[in-house]
Amino acid sequence: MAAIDDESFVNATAEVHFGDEGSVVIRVTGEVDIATADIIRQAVAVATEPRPARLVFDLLAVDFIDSSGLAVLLEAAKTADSVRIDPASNIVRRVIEATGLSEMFGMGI
Amino acid sequence: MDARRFPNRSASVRQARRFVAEQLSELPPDLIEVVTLMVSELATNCLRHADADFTVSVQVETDRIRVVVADDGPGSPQLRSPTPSEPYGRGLQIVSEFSDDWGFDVSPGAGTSVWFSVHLEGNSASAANTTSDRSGAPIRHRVRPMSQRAAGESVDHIRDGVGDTIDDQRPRPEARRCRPTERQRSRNVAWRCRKAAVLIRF
Repeated sequence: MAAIDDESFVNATAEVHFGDEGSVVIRVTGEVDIATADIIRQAVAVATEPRPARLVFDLLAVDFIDSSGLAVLLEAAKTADSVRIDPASNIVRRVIEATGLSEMFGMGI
Repeated sequence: MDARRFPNRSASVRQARRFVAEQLSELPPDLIEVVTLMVSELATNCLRHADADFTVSVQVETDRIRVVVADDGPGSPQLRSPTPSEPYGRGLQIVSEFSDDWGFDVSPGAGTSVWFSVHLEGNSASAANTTSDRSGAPIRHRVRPMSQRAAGESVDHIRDGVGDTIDDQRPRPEARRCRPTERQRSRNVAWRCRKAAVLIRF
């Protein structure tokens, strides 16, 4: 437990997967907040140079996300022709719905 | 009530979530999830806007959880409704969505404290001492996601009790205690006035 509370402990990862036909998947794990948002931001920078046709966030393994994490996703939405979240964990779905962003990220009913 | 002070650094936000989750460990995971989410938002606001250490206090009562996040910095919280093209400004929106009640106190020279509460329903024993929560005992919290609210329904209306939750259709003695007292109502009125002042600045 001490390790988790250590300031230097970073509890999130982001992987970029370049797919076919201009689609890029960023797979995020862990807790996305003010301390870890830059990890995702760096992955987005890599994934969106050059600008992809489709950017997909795989957020199934995200244990926590707050508005600092949402901010990164919304910034990323400006750097690709289309952006969606698929799949999403429960907390991601909950936060996205509460902020009225489901449609924005292709998570409609 | 348990309280802890956290230093002005980004890792404190996660530590504040851990601290609150520990205080609520007997409660349902679903509830812990939204409370820690709101704590994360308020702690982040302390770092972003006040650039100051902050203190988190957790109070678990029979029928509600109340959390206060306070800092020594200047400024007052501002509830916003950003468009999708605006990445920031959703912290208090999230608190407003997932809490049953929230507000703030700003004292010149003494910092800012923001609080929220979440009601526990059908809980006749002390929440902190209830061990049957995990087996499905009817401890629930009144969280209505935006998707279940009427389009354009404002937070003020929810606070007024217009379209309020399931309690209104199914009156139960223990649920009635969750309704605001006259004192709380008058406090909400004061809060709305302050919020209006905040909104005018936008």
